[in-house]
Amino acid sequence: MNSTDTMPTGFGMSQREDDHAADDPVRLLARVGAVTRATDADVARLRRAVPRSPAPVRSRWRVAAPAAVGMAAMAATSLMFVPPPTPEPPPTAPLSVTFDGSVQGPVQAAPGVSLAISGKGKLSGTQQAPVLDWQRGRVDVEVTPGAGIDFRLKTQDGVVHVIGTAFSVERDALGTHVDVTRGKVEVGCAAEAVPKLLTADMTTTCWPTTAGGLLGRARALHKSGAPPDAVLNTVSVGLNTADPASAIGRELAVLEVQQLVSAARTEEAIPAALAYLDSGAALRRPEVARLGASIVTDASGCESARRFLTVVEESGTLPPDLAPLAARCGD
Amino acid sequence: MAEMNDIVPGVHSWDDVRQGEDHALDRLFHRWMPDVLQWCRRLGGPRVDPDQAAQEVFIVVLRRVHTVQNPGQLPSWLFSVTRRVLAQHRRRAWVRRWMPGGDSLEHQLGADPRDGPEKLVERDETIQHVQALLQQLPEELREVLVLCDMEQRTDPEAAAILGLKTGTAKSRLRRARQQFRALARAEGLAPNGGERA
Repeated sequence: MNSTDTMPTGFGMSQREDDHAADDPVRLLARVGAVTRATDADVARLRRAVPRSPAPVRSRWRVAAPAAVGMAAMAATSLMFVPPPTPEPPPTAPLSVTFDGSVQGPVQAAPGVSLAISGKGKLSGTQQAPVLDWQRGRVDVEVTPGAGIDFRLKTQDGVVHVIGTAFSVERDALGTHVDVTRGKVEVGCAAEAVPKLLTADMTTTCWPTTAGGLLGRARALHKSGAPPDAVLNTVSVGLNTADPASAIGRELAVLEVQQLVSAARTEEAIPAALAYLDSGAALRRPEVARLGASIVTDASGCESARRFLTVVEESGTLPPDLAPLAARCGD
Repeated sequence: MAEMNDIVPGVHSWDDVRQGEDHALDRLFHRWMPDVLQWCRRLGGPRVDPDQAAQEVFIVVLRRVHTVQNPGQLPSWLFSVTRRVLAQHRRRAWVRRWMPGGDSLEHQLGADPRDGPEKLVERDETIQHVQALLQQLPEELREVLVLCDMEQRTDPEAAAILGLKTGTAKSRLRRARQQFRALARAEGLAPNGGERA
């Protein structure tokens, strides 16, 4: 079945569209409806999560009878049959374990590799060379030294390569953090050309590599109260990565203006705000214009002030705090 | 049995559904899971996990579908179950918010902060704006707007799902659109990419 909004007697979108003028915001609802449709993959995931049938309600006798027979059979067979010990898997035996978030705490991933899991990931590779693809959350890793185990931990932001040590990895909005407790690890951040060698008590963070990831990092830094310069470092990398016309590129540009204003870097903030207004972006124009107007000084002249004031006025009434500027620079 | 075939395609007898026959429930799930999941996404708001809510709806279906007397009642019954489950989830989210640590970034953003950085921002700004506006509408208006303007259902279809007369659904839709327009225009949202040119 095609997972769409179909109803038995459904009708096409054109009839609805005729109801609204081209600039009617109600049209947005159809757009959002299309984006929030359930895909076949969503439905397949949901089907796996829902049991096929409700838990059956059994009478006590129906439960008790098979249980009694089962216990009797077990008692009889245990006298006759002793299972052989499970053989140790060879070191080249493939590993395939998915941690879906339900597992918390210590896991013996392979001989000589202990993991303390609090998040999501997938273990693959072999007993000798396990590979943990870590998606999110924290994992503490302990690899027995001298056991010849070649362990790799990968995230989207980098790879940690280790032979015999203890360390933790946490992936969050800021990137992938690596914290070494004992031994040495080699960390290859995707955004950096040369891997770093970390020893005990050293930490590092691999930054995200995509524009979206960098915007996420910048926002997380801002929310955590980091100084504007720290946020601007990330924003600057993001702006170099992002398509300026994309939603993410524009959000990064707004964040840059906000942080430059917070840092009182007026000489950079005003051109950045004007560049945003010139970019054709519309959603945050009034906000950016207001920020720009708030930092215009005598030295920056009235030309940029008029530009900001015009956009602010277009979006509504001029706020009282901008009245002196309007009086000084108005036409 | 045109109605039956529309409601649960491939199943000839509603009794098969009510008696919990595997093939009939499979067909029912197949037909209605997309709708329920979409309702959960569109009506739940930022604090509700739509997958979890939809899962609960179908657990209720497994336990209670035998109470639905005929196939024609299924859509409105499913919608009312979804509405109740979403209300429970919102209440739980509200309680979490007032517990220590509950008002975290996770809840502010409606996403798990342990998610990778891409996931935190890979959400269309317009969708966020529209969904935030929808949450400002009263529930009865939000529901009719989602069914008619987001899911493109006819007024009689929406009325049937909501258990209303068509005229009532129409007047609610009119009010819902007026309020949504006013909110959207106040926020500077317009249909051309979500931004007013």
